[in-house]
Amino acid sequence: MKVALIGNPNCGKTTLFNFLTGSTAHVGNWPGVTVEKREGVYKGLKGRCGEKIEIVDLPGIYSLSPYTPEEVISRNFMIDEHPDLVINIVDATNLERNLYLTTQVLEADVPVMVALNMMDAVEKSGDTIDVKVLERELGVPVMPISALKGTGVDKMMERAVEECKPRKGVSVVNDALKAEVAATLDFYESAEVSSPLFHAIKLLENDEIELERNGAKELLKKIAGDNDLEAAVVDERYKYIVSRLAVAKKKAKRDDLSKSDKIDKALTHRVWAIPIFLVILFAIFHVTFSEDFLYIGAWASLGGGLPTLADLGLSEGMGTFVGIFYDGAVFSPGVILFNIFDTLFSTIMDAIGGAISTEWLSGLIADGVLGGLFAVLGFLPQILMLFLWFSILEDTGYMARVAFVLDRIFRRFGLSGRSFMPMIMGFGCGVPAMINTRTLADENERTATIRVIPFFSCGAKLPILTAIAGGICEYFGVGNADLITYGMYLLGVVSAVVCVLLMRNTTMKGAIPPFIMELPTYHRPQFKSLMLHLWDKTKHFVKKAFTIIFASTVIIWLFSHLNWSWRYLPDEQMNDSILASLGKLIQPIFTPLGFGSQLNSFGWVFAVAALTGLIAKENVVATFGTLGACLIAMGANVGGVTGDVLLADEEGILSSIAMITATGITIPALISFIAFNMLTIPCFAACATAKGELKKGTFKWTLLFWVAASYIISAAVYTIGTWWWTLFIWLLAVAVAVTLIELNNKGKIKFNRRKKQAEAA
Amino acid sequence: MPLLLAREGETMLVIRVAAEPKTRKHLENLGIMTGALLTPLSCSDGNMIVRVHDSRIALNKELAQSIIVGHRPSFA
Repeated sequence: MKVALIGNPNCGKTTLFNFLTGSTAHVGNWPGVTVEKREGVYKGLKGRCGEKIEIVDLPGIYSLSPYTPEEVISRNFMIDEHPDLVINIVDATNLERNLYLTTQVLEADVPVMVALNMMDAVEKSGDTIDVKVLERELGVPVMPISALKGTGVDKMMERAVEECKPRKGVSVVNDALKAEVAATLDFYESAEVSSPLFHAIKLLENDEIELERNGAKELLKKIAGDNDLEAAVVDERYKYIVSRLAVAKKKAKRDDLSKSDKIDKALTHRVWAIPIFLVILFAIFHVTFSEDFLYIGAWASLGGGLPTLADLGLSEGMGTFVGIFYDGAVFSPGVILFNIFDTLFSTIMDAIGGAISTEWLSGLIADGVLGGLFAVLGFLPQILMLFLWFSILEDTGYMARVAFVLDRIFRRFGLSGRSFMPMIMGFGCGVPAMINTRTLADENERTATIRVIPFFSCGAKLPILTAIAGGICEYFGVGNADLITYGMYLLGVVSAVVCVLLMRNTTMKGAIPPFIMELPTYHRPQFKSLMLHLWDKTKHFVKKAFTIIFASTVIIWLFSHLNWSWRYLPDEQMNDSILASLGKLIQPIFTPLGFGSQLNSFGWVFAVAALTGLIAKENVVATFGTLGACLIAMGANVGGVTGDVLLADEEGILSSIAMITATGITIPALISFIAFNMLTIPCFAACATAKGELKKGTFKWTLLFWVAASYIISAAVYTIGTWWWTLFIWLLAVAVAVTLIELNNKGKIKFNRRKKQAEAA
Repeated sequence: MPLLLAREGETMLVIRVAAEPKTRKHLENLGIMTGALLTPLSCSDGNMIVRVHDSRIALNKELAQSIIVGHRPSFA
């Protein structure tokens, strides 16, 4: 038995789906979280013949005439896949609007059941809904439930199994438009399509999909003449809802402004909305990354300053313990968690490395596998923490407001505020973010958004940022690691803005669709759903670490310790390995970016690390870990960094210090290296998603775009960082490009004249 | 008058929606159409939040301009 869940966006379909099937699908408090259909099996009772009950969760829709790409999925499923039962979930707190969809669902020839969700919220507000009245008017079972608390759900499913039988579609517009409906119905019945009544009324509504059918356009013209039947149908639906259905709800007296409206007064304030958002964003990054929490250290340094860890003169064990929390300044919670993990990992690594006496085996396991894996795993707490903050913002309903507030600004860059949602999701993972662009109505806006999503540095890129930022600070003794990290995030966002602006003025032109978004009611974040988000993220990350990253580190280690005649090389001869010779081959490409031929004999490690990042971005730091451990094992060869330090210090950061020491790379080149990895072609998974989501034929241009954008921006970072006066050359180049684009858009010059001539000929 | 000029908190009647067909349809689905009642909740630089039925809908400036509203006829 197949049961489909259908309903308005953000009415609780996925919450119900999770409750029914025990799944952990992503739930958020904004319209458009679900953009794909999802299947599961009901964990409760079985169907009448003992068969499994399959549940299908569909993207939310306001009506069965789709507006955005993901809405088509829901309509097609309901009409073409013949589910045994459609459960129409209705948000009881917003009855009238939700029932508008119900009137359309009832027109299809499928068994329907209405689930009145959020009944707990209705009762809390003092309102009452007479379920019997609704049931009588709609002619299908109506069951009050609360998907969040799970009340009434099992009862609903029992009734679903009992009363599920074939049903003929009925329409509320039939009385008013009898002749018109009869004519179109006849047309579809003779074409022998399923659910003829549904199609018949959709045609009267001027539905784009119906109009494509042979003869439909002509028929509609004949029936309608000059009358606007579309408006008449809509009008009939609402009239019916207001007069017959909405009367079932008795509203309690209450203030004009709800709590949500009052919060909105502040959070969407004309002046303060954007500053408030920026402060929240800064707070999130501060709590996750800062090594000087609340700037206690900086404040103290105005006076005498706080003592550093070394000044305290603690015993070794005590020093390691205190060092987790404090070193001249109090660490932020994110950094403390990172340190705890790191201390744990280096202890394990030390114990295992010491226990194996065979040189190559100890090298493979301690350096190759563990060095790589732990370099990445150590960052899990920070990745999770960043993810948690964004989940909380999402769960409260605040993100939808930010999309609205930013719409004004986004419009200047050629996007609507809608595209903010997938972009902010990009900070977590680009794959769901790219899929979520289905909520964007304009094709070109969608393409431009998908292309810049990787610039919103995802969780997998976070280790690259923090490891190298930490390395720069410790090795060169300059700057502040968190500032470099924030700066890189900012560089990603700025690059995205510039690239969107560029695309929307050249290859991806198009009108910016209007901004229409339902703002959900604010609610406290749900602890359970937050933990489910985190658990999912952790599982995903750990699984990836022990499969793709594990395999990659083993391969990297092997190729860095074998020469072309397949003989084992000790660490000292790494430069003669297969990996080294391959790395040296591609190394010159990166010369303009600062990590190419200008580095000394170990310089190929950066080229190799960047390349492994194409498989999974965690690989960049994993490769650092593997190769860094080998460099450290060489000890004196690379200048001062030895194995002992490895145990006392942070894994990923130490590896990058080893790489810096061994290659003689400069600060601008390191920053350029981060920028390149952040902006270039994303991981395999993201590429596959982009290919699937983009219009045919645009994927190859997208790849080219990523390569070009990352190469140019990184080259700019490196050259300006190294020779400040090159800034003027870059500015000049930008000015020339902007002028050319402007002139082309105004029609003064034509770039594609040759193409047009070819077309003409 | 366009919705843009309506006063905050005052419920208005929609007279006409002058948007292109696809947008108009989407607005209809959300309950914004001729004959519906809208209450502007807030307005910042033309971008508006309005209440329709029991939901809160955010609209950008151009849309707020294209929705023509009038005073609700009093039934009293």
